[in-house]
Amino acid sequence: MLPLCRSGRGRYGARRTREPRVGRTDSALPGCLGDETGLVQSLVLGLQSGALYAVIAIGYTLVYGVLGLLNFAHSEIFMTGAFTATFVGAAFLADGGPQTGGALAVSLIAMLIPAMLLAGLMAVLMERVAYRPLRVHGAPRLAALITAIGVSLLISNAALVRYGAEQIQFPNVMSTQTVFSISGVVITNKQILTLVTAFALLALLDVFVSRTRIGKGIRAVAQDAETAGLMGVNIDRTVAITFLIGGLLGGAAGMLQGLVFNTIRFNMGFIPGLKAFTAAVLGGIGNIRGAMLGGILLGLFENFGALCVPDGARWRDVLAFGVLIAVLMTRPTGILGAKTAERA
Amino acid sequence: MTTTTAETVSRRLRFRRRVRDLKAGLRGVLAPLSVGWGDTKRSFADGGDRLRAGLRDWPPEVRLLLLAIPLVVLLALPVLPFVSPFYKTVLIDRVAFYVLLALGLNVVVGFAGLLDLGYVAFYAIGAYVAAYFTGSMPVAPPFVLDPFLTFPFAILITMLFGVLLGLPTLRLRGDYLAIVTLGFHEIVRITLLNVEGITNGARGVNAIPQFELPFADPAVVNYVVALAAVGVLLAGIGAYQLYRGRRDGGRSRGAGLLLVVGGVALTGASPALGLPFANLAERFVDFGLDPVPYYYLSIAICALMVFIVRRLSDSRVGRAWVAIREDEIAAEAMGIPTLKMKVWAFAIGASTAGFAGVMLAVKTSFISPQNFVLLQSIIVLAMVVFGGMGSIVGAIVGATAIGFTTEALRDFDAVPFLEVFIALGVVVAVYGLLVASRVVSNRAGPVYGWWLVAIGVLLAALSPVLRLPFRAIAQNPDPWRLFLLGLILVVVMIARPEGLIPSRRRAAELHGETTAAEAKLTDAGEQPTTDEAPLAGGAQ
Repeated sequence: MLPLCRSGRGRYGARRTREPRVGRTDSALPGCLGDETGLVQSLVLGLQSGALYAVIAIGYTLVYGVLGLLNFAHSEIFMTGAFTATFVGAAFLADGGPQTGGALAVSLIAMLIPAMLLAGLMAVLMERVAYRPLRVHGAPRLAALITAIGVSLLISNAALVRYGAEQIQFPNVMSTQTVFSISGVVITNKQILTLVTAFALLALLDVFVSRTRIGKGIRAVAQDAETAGLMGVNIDRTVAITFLIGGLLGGAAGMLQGLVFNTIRFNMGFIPGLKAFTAAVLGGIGNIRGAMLGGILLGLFENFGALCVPDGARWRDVLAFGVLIAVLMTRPTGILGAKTAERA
Repeated sequence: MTTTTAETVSRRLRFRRRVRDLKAGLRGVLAPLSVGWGDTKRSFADGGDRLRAGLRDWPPEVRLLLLAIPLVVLLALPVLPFVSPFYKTVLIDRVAFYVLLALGLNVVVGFAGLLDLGYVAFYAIGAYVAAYFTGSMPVAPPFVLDPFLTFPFAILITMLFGVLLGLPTLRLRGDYLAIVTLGFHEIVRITLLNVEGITNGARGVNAIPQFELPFADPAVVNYVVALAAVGVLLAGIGAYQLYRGRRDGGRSRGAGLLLVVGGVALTGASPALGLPFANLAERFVDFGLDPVPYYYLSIAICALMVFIVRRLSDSRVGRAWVAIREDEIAAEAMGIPTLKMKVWAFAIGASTAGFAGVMLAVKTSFISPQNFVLLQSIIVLAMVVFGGMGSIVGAIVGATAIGFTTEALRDFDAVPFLEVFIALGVVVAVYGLLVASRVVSNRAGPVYGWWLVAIGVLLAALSPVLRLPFRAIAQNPDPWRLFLLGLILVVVMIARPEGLIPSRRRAAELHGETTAAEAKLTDAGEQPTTDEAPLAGGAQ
């Protein structure tokens, strides 16, 4: 277990027992039991959207762990990633239509890396310009929250001013193809790509935070910033790095989202941002593995809910938030959250 | 530098003392609102004394200005809607409703310190309740009510929802509560959107009847119901006074008895009084589509809310809220029923939003889930924090400032940018001069004043150039609106994280060290003023 924020080692058991239980409640709902194809398909879709939520949720939870700040503007970092990928792709690659094989891999990486970098840069800039002055000033937490909201409005509407309200086509580098089709369950190449990339990023992050020196610094600051500072951790730099990591992941998620849905828009970050935020809280905000677990659970639940509840697609968000409230009723600090978290 | 440090310090302290005295005076004048009914005369006299003390140290021209500004604002309030059609719509649709919402949310966030990101859900519930009981929704209500009579229902139902949401969720702390309220908001909004058979879904509810005096349905029964309701309300208040009278040695007993008797009498006589009242009401105004009556009604409701909230903030409940905000565990240990108090804060905040919801539904005559998106909640929260959390004046100023700004940005052509920049330049330059000549003390010193003068002159001189980008914006203002709102929020929060007009307590928290040091310095030279003791519950 990775104690980013006040959590002990012994939580593995909790995780293992909880995952299957949610699975059982889902399938116990009437109406969709017989529909095995639908269930498996929902599992695939749920994993896909859940993995994206998880990647975005990391950005929320890292920043929250270190600063105790709900970084509302993280959804705009996600949007920045998608826009960067789009423009890089449109400028250099996409005129030739869909690609395959090595060329495709090169194009995707050529889009992914600038998307991640620019999103990370945006996050660092955001911290530097907007949040650091408040932090230095010792401002109340709500002032920081309002600043984050302001930054979010600023960036998304800057995109609106610059690029308009219309949907923008994502570069057509990769055509959607069915890779597996087992008794009606369709798994596309994009789904596999999303899942693999997302899980690779999550694993990478996990190793980074738990094994490296910088990761240790992040955990130290999250646990007690003052003491960490006394122990020689450069707090400002650690916070900046935290934002950078969140930004890198957010940018990657933005690009994946663009790739899957084929269109981007100035406010595309809002809904995924909200969901990822929900996921982070669901898992226990401030806890990295909690964010991963929360994201995936949320994605799964949404998709099973859409299948199993009558007219479920329209009630998807109600279900998601309903689950969140139900979970928080029984575990007030999220699934993997520390019990003691006392932040007024 | 010709001045010594000691001189600068004493100048600065003198200035701060003047400001503090003035604030004390203004609070003193407002004191009647916060002191009991019976003590009104005394508190007015007290307020006058404090105001005199506050004004004492200022130069005469400044004194005049300080007295004139609130007077002008008060006098301007009733005539504002007649200044221009722009003001007419903006004041109602933006400012008045937002002030009401901000006042309510201020109770939740500012007083009790509960971060509520879904406040607008209650606004929506209030509006839909009004629509339902006026018979505008696809489902017919059990009885169709006049718009005015939907107020109590909306307030009760939103309050109920506040309690329903609050009871299970208020055990959560800080940001967990924020996400739950946000989730509640989304659940309400999506439900309103999805249950098309009841709410018309995204098409919204239209043709909600307007306020009218006499009632839209001139049937006498309306008047009977209204009078009976007033009677019951009065009797209820009286009963509470009686109940309280047991504890405060009978001081409230007389008034309570009077209220109970009067209320019961009014309720009993309502069938008989209905007809004469209906005849009398014939002579009143018809609200129709004219925004002006709504404006006055809003002012009245806002004034009522300010009164209620102000009284609450100094009450036992209000002090409990502050205690919870400061340290919940300590409050619990002191025997404060924290959950109950937090639910109260939620319910009172929710009912205020219900009030505003009815106003919105009736004024615009059309509501749809689109009116209640998450951004609205966020904007209201921004108003409260922007104005200064826990401060009633702050909430009003924040709501007015942001409401006006967003609205002025909508109608960019109407803003005279040339004049705005010149005025801004002049203000900055004059302030700079004041700083430079050490009339006003500034931490950065007199040289800073000359810089400000230079900037002000430059602003005024460059105004024809500076307005150019704004003219470009004026061509297509809509996307810029929220962009600029975001910019303003960021800049103001960085420059003044405690908000424009913070509550005394909040300001003290944020500048704890400076105030403590200052107190040490000032206490040597002068008698300590009583109002600096943190007695009042954070308001003003």
